[in-house]
Amino acid sequence: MITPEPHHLADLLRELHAEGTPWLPAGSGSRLHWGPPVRDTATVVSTQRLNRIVDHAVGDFTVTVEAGTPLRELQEVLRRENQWLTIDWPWGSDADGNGAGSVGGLVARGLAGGLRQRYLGVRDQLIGIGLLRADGVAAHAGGKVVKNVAGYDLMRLFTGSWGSLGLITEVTLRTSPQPPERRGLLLQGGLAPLDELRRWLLRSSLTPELIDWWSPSLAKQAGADPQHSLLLGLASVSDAALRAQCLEIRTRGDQLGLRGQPLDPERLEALRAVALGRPEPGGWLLRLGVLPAQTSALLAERVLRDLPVVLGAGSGLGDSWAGADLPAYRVEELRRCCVARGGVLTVLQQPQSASLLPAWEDAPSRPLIEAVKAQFDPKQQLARGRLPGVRDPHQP
Amino acid sequence: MSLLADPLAEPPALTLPWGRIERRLRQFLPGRAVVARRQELLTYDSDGLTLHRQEPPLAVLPETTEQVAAVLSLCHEEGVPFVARGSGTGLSGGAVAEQESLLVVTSRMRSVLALDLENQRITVQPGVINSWVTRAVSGDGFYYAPDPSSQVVCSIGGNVAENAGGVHCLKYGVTSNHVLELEVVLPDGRITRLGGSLAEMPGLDLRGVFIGSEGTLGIATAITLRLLRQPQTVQVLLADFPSMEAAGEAVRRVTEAGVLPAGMEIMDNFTINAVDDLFGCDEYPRDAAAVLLIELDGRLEEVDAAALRTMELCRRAGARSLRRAESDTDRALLWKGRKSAFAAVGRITPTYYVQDGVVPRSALPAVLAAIELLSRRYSLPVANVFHAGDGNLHPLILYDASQEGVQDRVQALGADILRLCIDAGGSITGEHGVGADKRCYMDWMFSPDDLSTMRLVRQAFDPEGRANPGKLFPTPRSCGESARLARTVRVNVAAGKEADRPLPASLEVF
Repeated sequence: MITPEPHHLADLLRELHAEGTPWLPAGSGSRLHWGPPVRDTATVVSTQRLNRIVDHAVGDFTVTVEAGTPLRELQEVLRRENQWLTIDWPWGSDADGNGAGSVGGLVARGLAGGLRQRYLGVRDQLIGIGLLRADGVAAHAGGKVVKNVAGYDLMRLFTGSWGSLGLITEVTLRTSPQPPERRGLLLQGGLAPLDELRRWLLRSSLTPELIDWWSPSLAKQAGADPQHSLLLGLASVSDAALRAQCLEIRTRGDQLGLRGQPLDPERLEALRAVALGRPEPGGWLLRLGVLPAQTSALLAERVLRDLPVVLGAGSGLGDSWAGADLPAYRVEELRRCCVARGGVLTVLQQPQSASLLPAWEDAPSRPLIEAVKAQFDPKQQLARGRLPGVRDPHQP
Repeated sequence: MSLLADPLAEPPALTLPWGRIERRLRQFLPGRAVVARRQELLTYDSDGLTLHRQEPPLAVLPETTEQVAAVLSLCHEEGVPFVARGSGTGLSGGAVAEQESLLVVTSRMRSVLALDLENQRITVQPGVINSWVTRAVSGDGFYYAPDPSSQVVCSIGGNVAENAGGVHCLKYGVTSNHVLELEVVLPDGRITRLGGSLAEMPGLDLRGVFIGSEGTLGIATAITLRLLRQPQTVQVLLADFPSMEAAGEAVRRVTEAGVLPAGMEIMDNFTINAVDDLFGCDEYPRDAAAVLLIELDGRLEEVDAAALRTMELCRRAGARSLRRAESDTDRALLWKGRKSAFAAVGRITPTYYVQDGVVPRSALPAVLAAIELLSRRYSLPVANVFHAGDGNLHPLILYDASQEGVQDRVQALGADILRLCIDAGGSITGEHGVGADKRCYMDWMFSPDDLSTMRLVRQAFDPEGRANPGKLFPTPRSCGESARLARTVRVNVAAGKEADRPLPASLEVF
């Protein structure tokens, strides 16, 4: 991995382009092994030295950062002003955000966690982007204001592009005030009454930050009873309001025969950190997605019975992970389950073995995705073999 | 033939074989779906921005995705450019066929295709009116959040094209935050799907780049939207301030305190007086420099707490009086002035030009003061009504169209205001789009490399440049005068000299 000085980056990319050398865009390189394997590539260009917080417009609730800035550092700087970026630590981080990688990496993967329930995803926080194209040309889109429709939305195009279109060098994000009060609730019991509670909650006027399904295996890892669970995070300007809401949810839970455990903010954070998993070299990491109404049915599937699973109850998106001993055919079975339930499965990490599973399948817009790729990366230099929405990018 | 070279060249006569095109269209479209009579085509000669007028040579009103695909396939074969149009309420001249193009109107595509309340989503055809979506689901306690002020007439397809916002996008976001999936007919007639059933799908987010592309990448024919639960309660606060700075300070304090209102709107003194004149009573204090409307929604206990906190913060920022409305009737009364603002201002002069600049929220007071100086310099009154929470200004330039040369002055003032917004770190458009109106200011915001990078997307979707040609991007022909307009207009807010200049006569109506 090379970590060029910022002012050398464009020259370097122009050279690579002139020679047609394949290379892989990277932030800190913490999760480069996620997703489809990159082929024919010996050069990894990192933005690690692009690590300045360019401008935190405190009163405007926006922040412009260079892409290599560690996510943890950004959140710390924002916290000092009582603000935050409403995005979870990525899977594999610890409770304090160590190992969370760079802001640019977060955007390039585009994967959000349970906080999506209230704050939406990574792409929804991005209001401006600076990038270097495959040919070394610097460009930007969007801006520094929270509302802006001038020009094409390249912020969204690059969110979740996995390095296939260019090197993200700078992003402007919206920030939010820290909610003055937070509380949590862990509800445990049978799948059916929990699903009933989930339905009731999503139809109520409550607006939790987080409604995450937990599998029994994950509950056990967190030191709770090995049962299916719903982990709720609530935030408000008023503690009295939070108390009232917790009471209302627990009362409903009681009626359904569920056990409710109130959580102070620290305990809530500690539990959430358990759901960030532990990176296991050579293990599986799966990104699950099903229609929200199908989440409990997915959790009931045999293949997920013994795996740790965290799954957004309102979004239908989550993660599961396993050691290398989980056979690939079980993962294929799980992929079929997700697809049958209106969703998808992305293999973020898999054991080294002969039968490699495709990280993702073809999207319906595959021809168009390839056309966009051909425009941005005419020499097919970037992240070869890794094009989101294309199962097996052909080699020219 | 290539029409790409110069999208704005206005030929002296029609150069495409429109007779043959019409005959071919009639072979697969119902008779009512093809409009060729000149009187009827006049309906489509402009959108909500009447400064730009051009009637199309031919219009079609397809009813199904298959018909749209057949129309665009034919366009592809014949090398015909096309312009998609929803309800025609846009404010940037985006839905006008400036050059010889087929107009594809979606106003007969008005069906709800699927409703899935369990998963909080609805799929509609592009011609469905924004407010119909909420109407279709409100009985079940849901609603569709983006609410442009034209929501009772504007179409979802148009909202997608412009990435429309509205009063409540401060809390709930704009169209792009609420669209899950799009069925799109590409300029060559192929049908594809962008996005998917979930908010996060593996695949380049072409859904995201399509939304707000102003009809230059294809036509959306089915749109899946996220539905939200209706809030338990809504309250509206109205505060009036002796200075615009104080109102801006109130907005800053409320935001900083972690209160996230559904909307925060400011009207300036000019607008307050126009509204009071319209109502014939002093609904708002006539001497107030600004009134601030704040809508809070959510759980009863939270809204109560937030309302008390917000009122306290407004007082500390210098609010002179505060009103709070909890019932439907009282809320409607407080909102009435804001909702009538354009009509009220429209009574002063027969015509006005709405701008749509955005500035960082903290720059609002300085930019508003600078706009006032510009207004005096041009002798054109400007009323300010704006989404204060997200810094989205809607200055209304008032003018009498019968005055000679006034349109040039109006456009020059509009350009100067946009320049102020860019200099303050903002944008030339927050929700109305670039269209024809602002394409010549795109190069104020974006470098040639930025624009060429955006054009890569266009090349992938529409290599022949036949979808809404000439819009959004600056072209040498259309923007020949942009150099003239692009002169620097930085206004020294502190300089008293200009401020002493008398106000234009039309202001005397107050």
